Amino acid sequence: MNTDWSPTEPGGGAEPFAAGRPSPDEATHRRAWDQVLGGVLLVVAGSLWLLDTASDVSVPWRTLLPIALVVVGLATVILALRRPAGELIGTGVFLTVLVVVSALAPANLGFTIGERSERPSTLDQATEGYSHGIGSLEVDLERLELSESITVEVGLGIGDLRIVVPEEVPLDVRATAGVGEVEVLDRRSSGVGPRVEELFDDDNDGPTLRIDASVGVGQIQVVRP
Amino acid sequence: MNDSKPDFAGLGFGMFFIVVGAAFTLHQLDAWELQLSYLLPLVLIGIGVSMLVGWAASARREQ
Repeated sequence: MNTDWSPTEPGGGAEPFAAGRPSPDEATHRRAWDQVLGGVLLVVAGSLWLLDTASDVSVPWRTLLPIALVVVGLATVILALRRPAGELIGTGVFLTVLVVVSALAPANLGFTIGERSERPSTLDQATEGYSHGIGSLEVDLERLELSESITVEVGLGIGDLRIVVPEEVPLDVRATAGVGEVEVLDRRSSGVGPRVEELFDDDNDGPTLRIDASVGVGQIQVVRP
Repeated sequence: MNDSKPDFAGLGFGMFFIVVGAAFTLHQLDAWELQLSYLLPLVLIGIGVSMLVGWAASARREQ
């Protein structure tokens, strides 16, 4: 048995590498590529995260993630033209999941968990908006006396969102969910990406209450008392 | 680089990533509205196409 073989010498005794398998040199080269790309991605992601946390700069993750996916896709295609690109495919699949999850999650998502109920009594309180992570959130706007048109933004990651609006006030509602159900007064939409965008009682006089509600996974209900 | 054979499955996945990434980028920039209800069928189609490309590549290698 010849154990003195060399991977770079095709005739060096028994052929230790089956056809199609990478030689150690190739494997090292691939690992180097993966390390470079992985390192660059981690450094860029960490720097942006730090920037987002430590400064007033708000990093647009929802836009950057799909751009990163395009870059990984291009790198995958370029590498795949010459050699297997399995490792990059794993990175791309991971990024695809992040892109989809970030698109489904509400823009103003909070990190709180549990049941929460809010009853703003002033316009300033209401226009600050509400966000909740997981659980149920009820925002009761019934006591609001509208002296001017306002917009109330409400976001929930996973769970049930219920918004109570005053009677006879003109409503301009935009309610969307990633997956689940949206019910705004007598309008209903369900499934993947349900959405209700509609004006209600807009022929009534007076200021308009605009509701911008979004849920990642779950239910939105906009009701009158 | 010794191995210069194209990786057809990698090509399929790469193109899938480019299409998905471009669609979501345009959606986030409000240049195009991506209906989320189209998402799951599109993902299924993408995975299916990648599998078919991989199958075609392995069939070609066997020949």
